[in-house]
Order: sequence, then structure tokens, then C-alpha cells
Amino acid sequence: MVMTVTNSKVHARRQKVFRSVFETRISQPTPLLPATEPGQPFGGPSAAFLANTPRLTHPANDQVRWDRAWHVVTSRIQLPSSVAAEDSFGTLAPDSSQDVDDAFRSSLLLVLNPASALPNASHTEDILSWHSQQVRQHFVNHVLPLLAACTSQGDHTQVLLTSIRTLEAANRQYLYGLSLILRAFRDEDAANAAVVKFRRDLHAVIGNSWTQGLLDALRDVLNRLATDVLRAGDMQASSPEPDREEEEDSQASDSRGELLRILESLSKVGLAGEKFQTLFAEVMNSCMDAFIQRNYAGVWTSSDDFGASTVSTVFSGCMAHLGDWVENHYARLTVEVFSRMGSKIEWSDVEMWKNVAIARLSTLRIHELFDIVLSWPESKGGVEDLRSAVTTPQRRLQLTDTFSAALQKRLLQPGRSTLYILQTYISMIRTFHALDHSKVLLDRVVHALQLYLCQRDDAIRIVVTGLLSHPKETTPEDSRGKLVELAAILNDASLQQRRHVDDDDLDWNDMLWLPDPVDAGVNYKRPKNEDVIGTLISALGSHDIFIKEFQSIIATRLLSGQPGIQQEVKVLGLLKRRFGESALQNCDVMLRDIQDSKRVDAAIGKSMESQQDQDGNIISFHSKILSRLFWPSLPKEPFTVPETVAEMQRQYEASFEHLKSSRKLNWLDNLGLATVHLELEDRTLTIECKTYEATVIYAFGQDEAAGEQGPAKRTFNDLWQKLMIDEDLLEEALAFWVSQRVIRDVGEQTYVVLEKLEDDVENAGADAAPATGEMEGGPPSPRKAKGMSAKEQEQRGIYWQFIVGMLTNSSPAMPLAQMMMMMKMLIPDGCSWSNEELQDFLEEKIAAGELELAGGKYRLPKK
Amino acid sequence: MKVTIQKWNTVATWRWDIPEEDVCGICQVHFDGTCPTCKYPGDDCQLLSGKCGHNFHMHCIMEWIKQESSRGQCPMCRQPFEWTDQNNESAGQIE
Repeated sequence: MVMTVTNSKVHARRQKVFRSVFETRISQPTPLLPATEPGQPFGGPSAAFLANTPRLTHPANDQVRWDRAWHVVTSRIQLPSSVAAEDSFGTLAPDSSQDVDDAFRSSLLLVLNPASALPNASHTEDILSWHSQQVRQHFVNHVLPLLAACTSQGDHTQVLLTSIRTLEAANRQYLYGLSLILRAFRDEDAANAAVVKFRRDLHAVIGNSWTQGLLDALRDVLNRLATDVLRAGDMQASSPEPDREEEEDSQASDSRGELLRILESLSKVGLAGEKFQTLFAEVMNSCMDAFIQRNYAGVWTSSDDFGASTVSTVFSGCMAHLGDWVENHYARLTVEVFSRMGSKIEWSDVEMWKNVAIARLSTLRIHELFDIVLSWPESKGGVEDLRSAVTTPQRRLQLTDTFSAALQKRLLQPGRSTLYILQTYISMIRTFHALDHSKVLLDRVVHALQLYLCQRDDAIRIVVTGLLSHPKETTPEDSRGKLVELAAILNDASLQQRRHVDDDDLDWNDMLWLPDPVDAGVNYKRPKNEDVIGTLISALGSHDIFIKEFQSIIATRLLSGQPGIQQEVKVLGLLKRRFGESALQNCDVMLRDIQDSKRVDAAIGKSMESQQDQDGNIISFHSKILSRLFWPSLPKEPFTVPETVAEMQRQYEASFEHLKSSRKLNWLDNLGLATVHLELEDRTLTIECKTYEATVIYAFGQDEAAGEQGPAKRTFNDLWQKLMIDEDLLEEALAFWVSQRVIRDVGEQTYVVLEKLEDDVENAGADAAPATGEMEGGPPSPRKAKGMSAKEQEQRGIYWQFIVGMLTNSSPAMPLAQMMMMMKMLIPDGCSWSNEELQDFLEEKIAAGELELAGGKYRLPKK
Repeated sequence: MKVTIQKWNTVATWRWDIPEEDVCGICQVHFDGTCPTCKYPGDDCQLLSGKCGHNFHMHCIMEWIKQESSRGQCPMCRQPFEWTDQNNESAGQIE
């Protein structure tokens, strides 16, 4: 009970508040009548008649007259209460007869000027506000449901059109009522003011009546039309096919017309308000995105054929096209649209749009940058776009961040070969140079790459071999796996003009001087040119490592019996300029050794009496004489050379000592090449091979007179003892000859000369086949493997000494990580091992009892 | 099978034919290397053997001998430094 009372109280209060804000009373066609005196006539046609009688001064009379006039007027302009279909708005109320009209007019005059005509009427109201109130009510009750019904239609265009039609009809209806009222206005200004006010009210109502369906429909239609219109600015639109162009142009103008028509009707019915503007802005925004994506994604060619005429020449390629498009298509459409809505577009707005568009394009380009790098130099246009757009530090930062991420994701992976990474890096150097001469951007992105390249052991080797390769000779097959680009760059003289940069900043006459970029790091030095090789080398870690690797590679090449050393000299010259003479002195000496020994060899060759073996064949004997301290570790694996060769060596030595007083020679028999001529029963072979290989096969050829039956047979141990050769070398040599099908493995480490090829076929099923197959599968690269293992052995010795020292002096027990860190820091050349390698090594030592592992820490066993 | 060696291209290293000590007493660089002023070892940077049995890079010992304080003595044994006949020729040229 109490609840009900309070409820009703609250309800009443709410009603009161509502009424104080909204005048609900006048929503009735006729106002509530105050109590009228009995006997007074009310309603009916006589009211109009009464209204005409001039002098009635009784207040109650006035009130009655007012009420009657009000009734006449309101019933005349009252809107149809129920709306069945949209076309109910289509027809206006039929023109009524003249007398009704007259009655209406006179009533209207009363209603409009109650103060003068009916001074005694106590209760009067403003017909205009009543009308707008009525309209509002009507709109909410009848038109909105209709609009909602419209949006349920499937086709968006249809939705839009019917909605507009509905609203137009409603508008007409509402304005008709207003116009009736306005007829009585004598003052034109007041009439206009009333119309404006009403219109504003109406538009406010309509403008707030957007339904989601209508919004969607309008967005869709606008999007479609705007896209159609703007499509005329596409790059493809400037294609040479006139038919298509015309067709597209007509389509564009059709769309433009339609768009503007829709817009006009929208603004007429009052839908062109703030909501529409927001919507239109959104649509135009997405249009710009779509246009940029459609036209420029992946288009990097800087075609100069489309118009860069109106736009400033700072921009080129896509940028120019984009600027042009914004100005001539985008802005034009917007200006047209806005002028329909009565607003204006400033030139500064167009400039702003241009900037926005350029920013969008540059964002696109930034995201494409990695692909641009990959397809350099075809993608030059893309870089040009970026260069003109990426001007602010923020954008530069965005660029480097995005690129770094792409780099990390797409390049720095175990799946990428070192060669590929290096090739990409070269492209990067060039792309970024084109983008930003100051190299700041490159420096910022390249750090991760450099770190990663340090993990790739073969990186330096690839670079050096690339530098040393012959650009002209290499066929496509050869160039695979090599960085021939480097050789090409090296040989291109125009790229090698490096100016001295020492007193760069002091060159007061340098008219091209620029301040350092704001985002440059400390110790920044402006590079003078793109300098691919220099940047590449600097990415490979410290110079010492590079020089060391260069030495070992150049040593291998110099000893490989290649005819000329021009390429080496050239590369050396380049590196000298970069690293300084003294750093590369060893290489200098190496080259000099080769040149000198050619001369010395010729001199000795002349003085030496030509040596003949027992059958009178002349051996041509040549040697390279090296300065041993200047070459990277030359492994010495002595063995007994064939007697004839030994004799030659003795002579050679004597000649040398004669030529160069108080100097002696040490032979490195395992290096070098020999040519052997093999006469077998069914074939003769002339094979160039390593000296130790020649020695081994020579051992098979000997002793034939010693009465052996059948083909010569040697066991591994025989050869080993006889030649005093290293086991590994012997094994390699035997494997080489087996692969050459000169000898075959008959098991138990015994090898037999293959006098006839058929013998091999006979035995192929047994055990010869696997051996040869194996050899074919993995072609032997004896020297490299040998050299590596010797070097490795030496390195292990050094590391072990270091570890022992560390555990003795520094701390008695250390975990693996700490050891690794110490070794990396303190061993002069750095430690090339990974954690795993060190662990393996330490485990070996533990197995050998030289080390103990306790509680995750290594320590030396106590003695 | 008959094996004939037709060509033999080998590699050798050279060294100074001197007994034992391997570094120059003056510059402490290996004899087979160069003295500090030279770039190329061997012909460009000869050795000079004293009668006292000490060897030096020629450039090093010449520099030493030129100094007043050396009084023409071998820096190792302080005996008057005289080089062996073998190198007389070249030494004479320098003086």
C-alpha cells in the first residue's frame, strides 16, 4: 500500500519534471479548454462566423473566440494521424473550398495575434511552436517506423533512396502546414525567420534520427560512389587505351552525378548534418587508404610519364602521382560535396590531405621496405618515394623499427644461407644509401644483422672469395654460391673513388656541406659514397679477424697453382686503403714471395742440369719459396718423396743456396701439385694431383721388376712405413686413387692396382663398389680438412693451457658459462668456440682424467 | 703399372742458415722476419754475422754501430764487432 503511494508520487514528480522541460500540453490538436461558461456555444462552423464579429470585449468571449480559432487552425494543419504507407505523404491535403479557407485565414489571424485581437483571452498559445511540436511527435510516431521499415530492405541503395523519399515526403507535409500558417504573416522577415527556425528544429529531429541500418546503407553507397569517382585517378586509368579510359571516365562522372544527387536530397531532407559529415570523412579516409593500397602497393617503378606537372618537383614517381590525385580528384570531390552542404574547403585543407596521403604512402613503403631491398635495383622508385617522405625523426624511427622487425623475422634465421644474408645486406647498403646518404638509418638497422653475421663462420670466407672471384669469367653456374657482385663492384672504377675524409669538416669550400643528421649517433662520420665493400667488411666484426681470414684464403689461392695474381693484388690494394699498409703487410709479403719465387725458380731452373729419371723422362720441377713467418700456419707433414724428386730437391736446394747466400730451404712436401703419367695395361692416364697423392701412386709403380706377379698390391701399413707419411694423408691419397679408378680396395687395408678397368667391374659387386660410391658421394677436399684439424689441434692446446691457468690462478672451480666468458674476454684472438664446443672439449678432458666436474663446476683434480 | 712423374710443383720455405738463436738481439724480431724498418724479409733485410758469433739484422746492427755510445762493440758481448767476410761486400757499401 505504502509502496503504491510512493510509486505514484514518484511518477507524478517525474511527470512534473518532464513537463517543465517539454511542453506536452500542446501536443493535442486542440488545447485543453478551461471551464467554459454554460450556454456558450463551442465548436462547429459557427465558431468561424463568431470569430468574424468584431466587437466582443467579454473576456470569456475572447477566450472562446480564441479557442475556436485555435481549433480551426489546428485541425486544418493537423498532420494525418496514421500513416499506412510512404505515399500517404506524397499527397497534400486537398485544397479545401474557398469559404473554409477564408475561415481558416481569419482564425489564423486571431491565433497569430491574440494579444491585439483577443486581449481578454486568458489562455493563448504559439501556433508555430505547436506545429513544430506536432511535427516532432508525428515524426517520432510515424516516420521513424517507416524509416526503420526502409532499412530492412536488402539493397543499400534502395534503402537509402526510400529513406530519402520518405523523408522528403514528410518534409513536404510538414512544410505545407507551415506554409499555411505563414500565409498570414505580413512581415516577410518574420516569416523567413519562422521558416528558418522550423527548418532548424526539423533538421535537428531528423538529424538525430539516424538508424544503424541507414548509416550502413549510406556508408556503403558513399563508399561505392566515392571509390568509383576516385578510381578515375588510378595509375591504370592513364593507360594508353582510349576506349577504356573514356568508359571509365563516363563511369566516374556517372558516379559523381549520382553521389551529388544523393547528397543534395540528403541535405534537403536534413540528413546532411554532423553525422553525415563524420560519415563522409570516414568514407573518404578509407577511400584514400584503398586508393593507396590499390595503386602503390608493390609498385616501385618510378615512371615519369604521369603528370608531375602541377606538383612541386620535390616529389617523384608515386609521390607525384599521389599529390596530383589528391589535388585533382580527391580534393575536387570533397570540394563538390562540401559546397553542396554549404561549407567551404580551404586550400590549406587540401595541403593537409596531401600530407596525410603522403604519410600513408610512406607508411606503406616502410612496410614494404624489406621487399624493396630484396628487389633492388628494380625498386628504385619505391625508395624515391620514401626518401621524399621520410623526413621527420619520428618517421625515420618508425622506418628503422619496422625494418628491424622485418629483418629479424625474415632474414636472420637459421634457414637463410650466409650467402643470401650477405646478398641482402649488399642490397640493403645500396637501398639505404639511396634513401639516406648519411648512413644513419642503415647504422641503426644493421646492428642486429652484424651480430648475427658474427655467428656465421663462413661469412668472411664468402666475402673474401667474392672479392677474389673473377667477374668476367664467372658463368651463372659459377657465380652461384659466390658473391660475384663484390668482384664487380671492385672492378668498377667509378665506385672506387674514395676521397680522403680525414679533414672533412675543415673543408670550408665544400658548398655541399650539410650538418650531421639530428639522429646521428656519437662518432658519426658522414660517408662520402655508398661504399658497399667497406660497409660489408665493417659488418663482419673486427678487422683482425677479417684480415686473418683474408690471409688464409689468399694463401690457399696463391698455393693452388693459379696462373695470375692480379685479382689478389687488386683486392689487397683495396684492403690496404681501408685497413692501412701495416695491417696487411703479411699479405704483401706473400704476394711478393710468389713473384720472387717465380724469378728465383726461373734462375734456378736454368742453372740446374735437367734431371732425368731412369727412363730418360724429364721432370719439370718448380717450387715456390715462401717467407715462413708471413704465411698463415703452413702445415708440415713430411714424407719420403720419390727418389727422383728428392734428387731434384737436393739440386734445387744447392742452387738456391748458391743464389742466396747463407739461406736454406725447408720443403713442405705435402703442399703443391704434381702431374703423373700412368701407364696401365689397357689405358694411360695423365692426372694432376697433390704431391702426396703422386707419391703414393708412385709407390705402387715401383718395384715392378722385383718379381711381383700380376698387378701391384700394397697394404696400408706397408705404404705408411715405407713413405713415413701421415696416416690421414695416406688415407686421403688412397681414397683419391680409388675414386680415380686406378687402384681398388680389396679389403683388409690392401689396395691393388686396377690394370684393366674390367677388373673393377668384376669386383664391383663385392666391396669395391661401396668404397667408390662413398668417394663419389663425398668428394675429398683433403687440404682444407687437414689444415683445419691441425689448426684446431693447436687451438685446443692453447685453450687447454688457458683453462688450466684459469683454474689455478683465478678460481679453483668454475661453471661453464663463466669459463666461456673469461675465455671470450681474455684470449687474445677471442674464443671461436660455442658453449657446446667448450663443453665437449671439457668432457673429453674429464674423460682423460685431467679435469673434474663437481656441482656444475669444473676444477682440476687434486694431486 | 708404370708411373712417371712429369711435373712437380712444390712449396718450400727459406730460412737463414745460422745456428741456434732465432731472434735478432737488437730488435727481438725473428731473423726470418724483418727488422722494424723493413717491409720485406730476405733480400731486402739481410743478416750480418759478427765474428763473435752473434747475428743481427743488418739494418739493426748498422744503426747500432753508428751510435757513439756503441764504440763499435757487439751489443751482446761487448767485443769489437767485426762481421764475417761473407757479408763484407754489402757492409762496405753501407759504410
